[in-house]
Amino acid sequence: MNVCLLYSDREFDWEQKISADRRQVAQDLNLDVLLAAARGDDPVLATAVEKVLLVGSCDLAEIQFRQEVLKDFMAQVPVLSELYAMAMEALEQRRRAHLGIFTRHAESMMHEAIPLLRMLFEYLEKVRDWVRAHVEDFRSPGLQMFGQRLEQALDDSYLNQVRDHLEALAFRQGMVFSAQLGPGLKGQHYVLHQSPPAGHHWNLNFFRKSPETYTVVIADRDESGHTALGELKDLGLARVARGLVQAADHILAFFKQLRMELAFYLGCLNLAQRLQEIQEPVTFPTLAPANERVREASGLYDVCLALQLNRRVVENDCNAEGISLTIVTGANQGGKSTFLRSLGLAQLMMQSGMFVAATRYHGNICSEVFTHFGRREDQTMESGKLDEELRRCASIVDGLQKNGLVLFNESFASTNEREGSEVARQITQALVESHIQVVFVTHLVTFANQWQDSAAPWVQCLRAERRDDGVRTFKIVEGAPLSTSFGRDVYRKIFGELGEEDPEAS
Amino acid sequence: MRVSSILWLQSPITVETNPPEIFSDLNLDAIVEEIVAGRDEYRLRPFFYTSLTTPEEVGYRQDVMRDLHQPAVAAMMHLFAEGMQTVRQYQAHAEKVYYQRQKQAWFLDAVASYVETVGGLDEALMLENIKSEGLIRFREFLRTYVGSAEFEGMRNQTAALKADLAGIRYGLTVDGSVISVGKEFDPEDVSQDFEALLTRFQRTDIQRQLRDQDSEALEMNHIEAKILEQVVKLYPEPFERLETFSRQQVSFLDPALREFDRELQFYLTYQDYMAFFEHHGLDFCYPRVSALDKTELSRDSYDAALAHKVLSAHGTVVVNDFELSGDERILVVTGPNQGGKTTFARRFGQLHFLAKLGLPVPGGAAQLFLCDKIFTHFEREEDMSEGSGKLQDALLRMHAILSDASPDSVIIMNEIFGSTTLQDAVFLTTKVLDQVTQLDAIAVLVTFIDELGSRNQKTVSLVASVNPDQYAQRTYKIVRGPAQGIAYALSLAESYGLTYSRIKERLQP
Repeated sequence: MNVCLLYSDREFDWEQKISADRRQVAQDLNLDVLLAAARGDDPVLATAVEKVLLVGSCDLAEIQFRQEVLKDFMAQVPVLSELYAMAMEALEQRRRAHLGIFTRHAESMMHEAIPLLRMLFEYLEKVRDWVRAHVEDFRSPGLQMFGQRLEQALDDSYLNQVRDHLEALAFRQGMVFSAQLGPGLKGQHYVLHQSPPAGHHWNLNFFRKSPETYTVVIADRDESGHTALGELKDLGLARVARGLVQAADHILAFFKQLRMELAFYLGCLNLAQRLQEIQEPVTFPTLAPANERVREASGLYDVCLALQLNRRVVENDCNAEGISLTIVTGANQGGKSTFLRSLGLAQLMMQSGMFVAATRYHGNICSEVFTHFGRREDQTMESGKLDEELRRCASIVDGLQKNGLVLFNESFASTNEREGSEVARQITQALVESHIQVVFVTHLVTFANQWQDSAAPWVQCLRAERRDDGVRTFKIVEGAPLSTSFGRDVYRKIFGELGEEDPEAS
Repeated sequence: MRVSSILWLQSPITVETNPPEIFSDLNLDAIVEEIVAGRDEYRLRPFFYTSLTTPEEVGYRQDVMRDLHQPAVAAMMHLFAEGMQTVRQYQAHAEKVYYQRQKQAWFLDAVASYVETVGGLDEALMLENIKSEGLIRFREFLRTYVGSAEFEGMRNQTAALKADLAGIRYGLTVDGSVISVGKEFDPEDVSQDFEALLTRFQRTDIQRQLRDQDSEALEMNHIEAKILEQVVKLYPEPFERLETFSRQQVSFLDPALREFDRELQFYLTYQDYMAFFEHHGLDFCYPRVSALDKTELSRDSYDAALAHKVLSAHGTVVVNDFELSGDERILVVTGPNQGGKTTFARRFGQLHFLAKLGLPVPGGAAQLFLCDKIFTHFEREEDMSEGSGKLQDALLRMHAILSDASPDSVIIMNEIFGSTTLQDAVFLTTKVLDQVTQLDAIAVLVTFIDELGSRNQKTVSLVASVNPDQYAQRTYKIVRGPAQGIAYALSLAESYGLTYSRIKERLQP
């Protein structure tokens, strides 16, 4: 029995490894801030949201499937919390049971597993009844099918049968086995046979009918003999005990999976709640296939920045159709990195099935998001830095597939302008021609101008807006690169005035 | 009857028990330890310490190895080796256990494995087209042995006993402290019913399998032994036969087969070693060896010790070529630090040594001179003395080498006078180079002194240079001629495969 609330046909694999490149993306986009908001009081929520965000989905139908489930839960917030609490309680039973997975004694394993299984079946029944009570209110295929699966797997006659079997395993009438001679003439292939019906001393009668029976009696004082007998019984009971412990394991795994998949949705609700508190909007994006190039958005903002500042932040609009390469230039501290992050975050959130941080968003999905963020403060000619940047970039290229998205932020600034531009140009050109989408925030003037001059229809040049009076709006608007980075604005702000006339100030 | 050896063309031979002196300089110790790892029971090291002297001996082994490279032959030999291991393991069990009947049962299993293993090899060998003298001789021996009446009798008795014991099934009831043992029981299996009921909760993501607890201890406890005695009462006949059998067949294992099993490992373990490299796309080849012709050639070869380490860490290995033709005898290697010069020298020595063992060598093709002896002169890091003392030691060692070496020797010198001034180093190295030239031995000289490469017509200048084609690794090739300079940022990008054309290639759908 499967949970299947994140995929219609399978369960989310929580054990899958997140690649170093993906971790880098999370770090570059400040994902921790978003996760802290999703977390609430339960760290598991952050774990679940993080995994789902970083794994993402490239399948339009899957993303829509999740959007529908999330919409159902957003319509009835307390309902989700109830179900989540039920899954938690069921998992709690495991801890109480001290299930003897470390003991090798089949007999004691059975003594622990049987009551645990009884409890777990009670919880399964509870979940079934809960879904029964709410299924009418759900619109999403995900939650409707979940209800159907529970009904099918847990009909009343089946639950009764399980209870009877658990009762029969008490062996109140002794045990009957058979065995063969294995290597070194030790007994092997022990099989447990039907115990006699209650009230009959069946086993002794049984052998009395047979012509040859020999008996071994273990003396009361023979302690090692009794231990050996215990081991013998364990061999005979091993298979039944294993079956019981495994059944408990499997049912617990179901609850664990249920809890994790619900945790993603609960985390989303927490996040939406926090954003609502600071009056930031969210919207469910509409999706375009990966081979299209479209990004149309209104009111797009950096969700992590808003959470961090705890207030509304600058919003941008996007209007890009058929654009494979976006070049973003402009003043320092003009909002370029924030803009880049808002794009990356929207992409990740969209592909996880979550809402995005905007008032309206329509965009193509991509096979995977990569970030390559340089650090401008390290702008030295030191060879190790460029080497390190190139190594990271090579690792990205290794992981790239058609229709991937790469966000470059001030990359290749660690060598001189001319060489850095050439490295950046070759990489960008090759990526775009290989059907990769690129957004490149840069100060490399030669590089940016080359693309501006190329006038290719698939290139869009954006610029951090700066009003004529030098004030930054932090908005990113369409515009060709300028040859200065407005560093002197910052200087002026800090030092009050330029020491001498700046030749480029006119 | 005596079987001839598959290692030695003319037996008997005295094997070396200590590694040759050159082993640590050439990292041959690492290679051999990797090869023999986990096979201590075969005592293989002496085989790797003892090199061959004539092309005929080398050919004898190369032919056996070629036969063993046929997949069918390799498979049957592995099966044989595993079978013999099982035999020894069961013998050990029989030694170890306490109860007499258990001893007899393990002994029976040892013999059963032996007849199956030996008989199986005989049958399999008859089906294959064996070409080597070594294996043809062995096959003849084996045919005679397996066809003998003693072997046939042993085989039949073993099979009958095994079948009779395996057919015994008995019932047990446990009630309090009373165990009853009988021949009959109710056949229904309770555990299966229950498992069937719970299958609808079966999940594929649960990995934990509680392990089967059948017979994990070798020994019986006294309760098991008592139960067994009851089973013997129920079925006495096969146990009587087992007792007789274990008395009669004590020396079932033929010593010639034991030795074959050991010698075979020399080849099989080396095949495993080669397979590791071949799996990563690196070749091994059969070198053409000559004791007369000093022309040498190696294509795409590598330092096996280093390559093994690099591949184990998922790195990329650089292969190199070398060639000596006409009068050329001495490879003079110069270039930057960390440029792969020492690796080159080691590789050169390894190839010659492995060829002298009659084994395939790293690389796509090789022609090598079958030298009489290999000498190495590497700087000794463990050498405690400083300055003049150190230089003196180095010179003493060099002198000893030049006195022992013949025109048929290979001499490998690595930064021999690094501990002295440039002026001294130039003078001394030139002197040594001239003596080696005069001797007409084959040599490698790794040095920081640029001008030595063109010293005379026997010297060849090689340079460790930046390799621009090797993606994501700043690695070097050793090539004839001078190094070339390249523009910094782009060449670095190129080394990561980040130029326009390289990315396009890599992202090809």
